Amino acid sequence: MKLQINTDVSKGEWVAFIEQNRCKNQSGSVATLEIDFSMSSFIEPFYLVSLACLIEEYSINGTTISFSPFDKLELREYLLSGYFLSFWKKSFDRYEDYFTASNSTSLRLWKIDSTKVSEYVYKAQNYYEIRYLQEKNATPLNISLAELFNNIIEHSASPVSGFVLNQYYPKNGKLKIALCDLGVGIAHKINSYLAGKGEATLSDKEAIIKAFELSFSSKSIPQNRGRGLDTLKTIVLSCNGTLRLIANNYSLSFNVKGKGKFDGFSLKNEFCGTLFEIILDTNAFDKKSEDEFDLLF
Amino acid sequence: MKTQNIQVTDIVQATTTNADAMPLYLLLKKEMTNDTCIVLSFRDATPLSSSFLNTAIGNLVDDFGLDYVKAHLKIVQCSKSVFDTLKRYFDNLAKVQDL
Repeated sequence: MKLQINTDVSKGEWVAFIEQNRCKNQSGSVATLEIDFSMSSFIEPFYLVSLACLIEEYSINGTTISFSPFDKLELREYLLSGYFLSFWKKSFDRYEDYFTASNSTSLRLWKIDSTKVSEYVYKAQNYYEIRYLQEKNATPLNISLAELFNNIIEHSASPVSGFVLNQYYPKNGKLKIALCDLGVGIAHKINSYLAGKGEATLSDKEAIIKAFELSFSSKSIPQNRGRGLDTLKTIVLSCNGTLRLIANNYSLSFNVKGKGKFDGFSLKNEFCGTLFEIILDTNAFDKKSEDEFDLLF
Repeated sequence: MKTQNIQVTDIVQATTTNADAMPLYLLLKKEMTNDTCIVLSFRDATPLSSSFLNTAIGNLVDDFGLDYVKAHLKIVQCSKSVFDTLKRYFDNLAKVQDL
């Protein structure tokens, strides 16, 4: 099977492409999957993490992964520096020297490992602080990643544990996080929870908005208290950022210009999973400080 | 009331996941069960996720109630971001309790 990658499409069309070509939607097993980037000139993190999930699902099911030769030098360099082209080689160590080997504005593609998320968020924060944000405190990146990882690990039930990619843009100081899983999708998760309680289910749009409500939780584990996505929203807005979330039949977004008001549109085709794209403005990060504070009740 | 000083970084290795917070929760629970006032220092602590706080603090509130936890806890030596996160977390706990 050969997949021609064309990222010159809308994000809605892209997730439809991903869904249509997933392993579970093919008749019979697929021996080889060849990925062809010859039609692509540039590929954003949003597209790469979802494509990585698609490829990984095939790989888990025994499919051999390969990439067609292509001559777009800039794209090739980008994919090579992120180790995308070597990620599914048998000899490739996905976790060795993860942060020390890179000196790029983007971190290497990372398959989310629940036993390593604490280490990852700490090192990602340090990576950008040391290389690009010397006087700034990149705590918003740390917490955003932590909330996203915990959300996937606790709620998604994804057959692929998910992929993340971080990209910093030095010209404008923006930091992009893209993260994808192929789980049940937030809207579906919320509605399953409501149905289980005998309550009326919601449209996908309403269900996703509900997920951002403070103190609302689908209680995948007893500790859940409905804080994660509310925290994420607070960080995005405090960092002059934007958030896009695609899950099931809806694409939701909000940004600081719209004062956090939810916007979005329905998708023509369902995407079984959840795909986040977050952009933080590092110019809004606090400066590093040695000051200490006490919280008195 | 007896007082006990606890340094968060002596107890936990990270502050990201529910599992990271479990040793701290168990220690705080033990001390609160003994009616001990805890001075909890967050000096050099990494940023706190909501999952970490749900286990470390939220579980205590379930066990003892918000007023009891506040009466037995002094939070000190926080960076600005940790302070902001904790303040927001406790403010939201109070909001939920008032609903």
